[in-house]
Amino acid sequence: MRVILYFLLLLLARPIWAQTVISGKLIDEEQQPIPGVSVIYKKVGASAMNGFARTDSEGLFKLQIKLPDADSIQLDFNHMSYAKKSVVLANRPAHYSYVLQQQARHIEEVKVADIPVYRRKDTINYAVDAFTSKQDRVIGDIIKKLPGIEMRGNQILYQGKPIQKYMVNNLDLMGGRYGMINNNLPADAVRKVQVVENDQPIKILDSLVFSDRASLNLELKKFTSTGTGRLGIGLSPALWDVNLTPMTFGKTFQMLNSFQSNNTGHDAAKDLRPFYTGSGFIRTNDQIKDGPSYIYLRNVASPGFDEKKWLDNKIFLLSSNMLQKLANGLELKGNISYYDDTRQRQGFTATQYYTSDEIIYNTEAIDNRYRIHVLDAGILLEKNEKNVYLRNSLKYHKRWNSDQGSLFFNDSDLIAQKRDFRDEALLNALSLARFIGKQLVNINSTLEWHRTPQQLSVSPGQFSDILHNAEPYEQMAQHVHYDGLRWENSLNFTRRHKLWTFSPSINLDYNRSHLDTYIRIEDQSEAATLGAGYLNDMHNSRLSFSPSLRIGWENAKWKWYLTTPFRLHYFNVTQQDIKTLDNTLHHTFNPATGMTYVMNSNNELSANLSIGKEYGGLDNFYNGYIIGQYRSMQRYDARLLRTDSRRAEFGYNYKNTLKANFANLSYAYAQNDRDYIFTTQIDSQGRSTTAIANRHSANDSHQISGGVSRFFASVKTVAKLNGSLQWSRSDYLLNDILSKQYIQRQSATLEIINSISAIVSGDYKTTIGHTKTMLAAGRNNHVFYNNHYLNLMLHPHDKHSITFENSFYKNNIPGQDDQFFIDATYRYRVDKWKTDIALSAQNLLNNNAYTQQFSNNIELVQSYFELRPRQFVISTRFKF
Amino acid sequence: MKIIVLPIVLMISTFAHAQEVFTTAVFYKLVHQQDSLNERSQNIEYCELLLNDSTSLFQTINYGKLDSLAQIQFKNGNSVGAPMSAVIEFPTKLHLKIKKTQDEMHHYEKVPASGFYGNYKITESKISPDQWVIQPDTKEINNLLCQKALLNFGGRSWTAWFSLDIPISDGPYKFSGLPGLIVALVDSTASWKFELIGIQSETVRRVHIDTYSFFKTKALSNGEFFKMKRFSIDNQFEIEVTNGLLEGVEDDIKEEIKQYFRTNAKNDNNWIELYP
Repeated sequence: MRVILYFLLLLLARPIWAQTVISGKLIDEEQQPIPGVSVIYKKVGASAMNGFARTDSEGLFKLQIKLPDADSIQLDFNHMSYAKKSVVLANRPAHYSYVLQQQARHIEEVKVADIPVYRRKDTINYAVDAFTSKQDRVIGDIIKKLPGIEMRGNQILYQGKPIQKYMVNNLDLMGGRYGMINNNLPADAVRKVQVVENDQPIKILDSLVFSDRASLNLELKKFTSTGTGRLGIGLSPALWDVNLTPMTFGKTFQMLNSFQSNNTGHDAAKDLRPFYTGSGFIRTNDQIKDGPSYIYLRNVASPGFDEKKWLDNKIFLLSSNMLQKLANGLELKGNISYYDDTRQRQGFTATQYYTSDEIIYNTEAIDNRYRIHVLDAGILLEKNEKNVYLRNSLKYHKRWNSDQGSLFFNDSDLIAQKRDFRDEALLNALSLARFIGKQLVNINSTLEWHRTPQQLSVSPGQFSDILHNAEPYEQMAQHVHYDGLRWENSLNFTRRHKLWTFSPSINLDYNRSHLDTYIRIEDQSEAATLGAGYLNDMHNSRLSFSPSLRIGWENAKWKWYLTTPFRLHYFNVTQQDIKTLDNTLHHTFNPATGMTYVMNSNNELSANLSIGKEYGGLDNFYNGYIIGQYRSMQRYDARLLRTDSRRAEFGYNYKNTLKANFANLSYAYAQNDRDYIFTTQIDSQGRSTTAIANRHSANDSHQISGGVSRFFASVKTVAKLNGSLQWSRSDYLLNDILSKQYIQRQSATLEIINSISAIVSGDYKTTIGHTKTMLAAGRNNHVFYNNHYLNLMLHPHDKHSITFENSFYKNNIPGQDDQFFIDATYRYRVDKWKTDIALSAQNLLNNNAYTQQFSNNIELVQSYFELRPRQFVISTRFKF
Repeated sequence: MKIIVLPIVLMISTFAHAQEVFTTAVFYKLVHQQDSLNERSQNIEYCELLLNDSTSLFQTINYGKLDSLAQIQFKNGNSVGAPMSAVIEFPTKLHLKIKKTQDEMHHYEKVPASGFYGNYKITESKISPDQWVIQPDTKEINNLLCQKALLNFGGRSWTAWFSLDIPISDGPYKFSGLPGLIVALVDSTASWKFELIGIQSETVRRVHIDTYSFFKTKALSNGEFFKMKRFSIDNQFEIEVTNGLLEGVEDDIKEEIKQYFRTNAKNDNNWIELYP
């Protein structure tokens, strides 16, 4: 036993004999150990080393010397902060101690090659040629491919934020309606696309107000006249889609004209809507809104899906835009546009009214025809210099509608409606920014004037029990004449101090309107104007003065804001020469606060709170009846409507970008107290009259919504699930009985997107929803729907692609079959002509109607909507 | 009075801690081949190794610039990262930093995910001196006498040339532990090649290493991290879809974006560390 052990020991000891272990300790002059010293050993005087070690925190090292032939060895001690030291030792096991002298070692500068110099710029230039591929025709095709750019419909976003300027040769011709240039300027006319980041478009604010938005500029190859067109034809009936857009870009003059016409369901007038107005920080509200409409044709609700499937239109549109740069830094822009649109809408509506003692049921077959003419013209003068900013915009707008409706009531009465609506408006908006001392002062002033005459005729006349001693009569006509004036002025200051932003402002607003209405009854060539109770001659005005302060604070993790708008209002109303409000003074204070807390890269919390009080109803102040629709009339008392509201919102967001898991959850609560309630009387025919009652009413609602999305990598599939729950409670007054309505809504959406194959890809989506409404006397109703959508994309070849869109609608409407739609598009790329030819087929199964169901507090409506029939369109684009 | 002074002192000390001051800069030229199947997919980067007595930081010069611009953006309340113009002006394919201290090593890397970049921090132990196999070969590179050393690391076999003349036990990327500075480093497939091109001593460089953005200090092993990085590059399109970033984008544009990500993922297959 002992022999074996001895032998083993001998075996183990053998390697130790072959290599010597030298250990040691390194200390400084103060006897402190030195860690991190490289200790190398080598043959004495050799250049290559044979092994090395490093001292630990105790200054200790241990070297296994693998030089059995050498009698002595050399040790070098190397450290940046100590003088180099070499010692020669005998090659045998031993322990040594050495003192190293403190001395900062100088490292020789080395320069072998140059490092290329890069320079930071705020402007990115993209050479258009580098991004152009075979099928790119217009500049929009290139822009959408640039890094950092996203498109939302026709809107351009850069790093997730909408761009604030779209310029050609540094001039902003279209002012927010850039879609017309983007979709029509041939790509080969552009030399480069420039993106100017953090651009402050108002020069006076430069270096004062940080901008996180970008501007886009197109630099053309030469001053030129160019343009593109689109041509499509189809069946059936005969369909056309034409777009011709010539444009001219000169040194100081630019012009763009566009002619568009189609009857394929594309609302070309949308191109006239701007994506931005004014510029950035100084925002002016210079859009003209249509004047108020008091009268309507009875209509069918439009389906909640793509307009192209159902819009029955025939539009002709002309637009002309010019820009002239003047010598003294002024830019003058003018634009004029006109369109004529004829629309048709057909459908059927079945309505149930729940009064407290009975259910009233009626049906309406609707056939409406709308003729819309709109003319807009504007002149804009802008001076944007380092010391002053001036912008004045003058606009004129005219709209005239002549609409006709033919309606079959309860399958028995044919009712004709005719609506004439005219609106003429003039607006002037002025913005001025200047420094007074070191403080930047910004003044905005907007003046808007409207004249809006309108008329609704209904024959035979309705409401005969009220309007015509319960005897039938030929025609009733509601005449309305509205004119209004809005004048808004504001004075703003902004100051930033470290993490704080203070923005005090003073507003002075004045609103005035005049409403003149009367009802004419015609029967057997006798015409009469109804007297008191059916007449309005109302003048009202509101003057408000409001000092306000917004305070913001933010750092990396927290963002917080508080607004404290205090308003004083003076109201004056004269009705039929009686002064019903005489310099009535009210004040409101509507503070709001909110904050966001970014916990870490995965979790974010936010909260918003607001309370407030509003006085409204000035436009609904009329105390004489107005016939709003053929079967509804309303009048309101001469009083201000006060609403007290409280709102709270809490949100939580989770994201794990790497695992591709996302989730969000939010809760919102809203509560309103009103010192009034709308009261509705419904007669046995379902005709309603609405007024205001002096009773307190309240409503509140809770909503929880959330969603999760997750990526399943093994099958390359994304699944998204969203859902929401809502409860609400509100008071309603129907046929003099005050009741409470309870609504519960549940809805959920599941979406699955698969991309495993390069040739076939697809997505599937289903939505399911349920609404339960509980009304007085235990009445309730349920609406249930479940829709499915399946899109399939086939790319069998580089040049060919086919897309199928299937949608399936299912609901709980009795007698309604499930509905199924298929659309398909085939696209062929023609390299030689640099264009695509697209053949699209819409509504292949030729469904003619779409059914939907919805309810509000007193009625349940089922409506059938006539869709566009099966159609085929072949289209292409060209350049001129 | 003490109550007021204490928080101020605390604040100053945290700020002081946030910024690292380096006194020596070593520059390397890196030539690497992104696609192992395509010899022309060569990419040249210039890198810096910043050093002081206790810490070193390795990054590409352009990434260092992007990172400091991102810090400025972050101060202005924008956590998305460096401006896109800078990303284009300062191109780099290596969105990473390696910080080495006396005892450990931190690997910070931005991984493309859902349109932006996700930040990761992995802590691992340094390469120890006895992992290196010293060879007797010597040669002179740029007037520096160098000696050869071999190492197996990250699934590759590396050959390093280090110089005893420069007693800095450090080198590019995660490589350290030799008794002198690494002057040249190449892997056996010649996909990754570092060459020293300059040393600046007695310089002053201030760098915020991990103060901005919320680096995830998840205890990931190196293998787990690279697996996750592969996942996010291979599935970038799906991740964006999951995150709702492509909501409302037209189908043909979506298809283009998908193809772009797919090609990118296919060509990026020759990383510096290879894990099965």
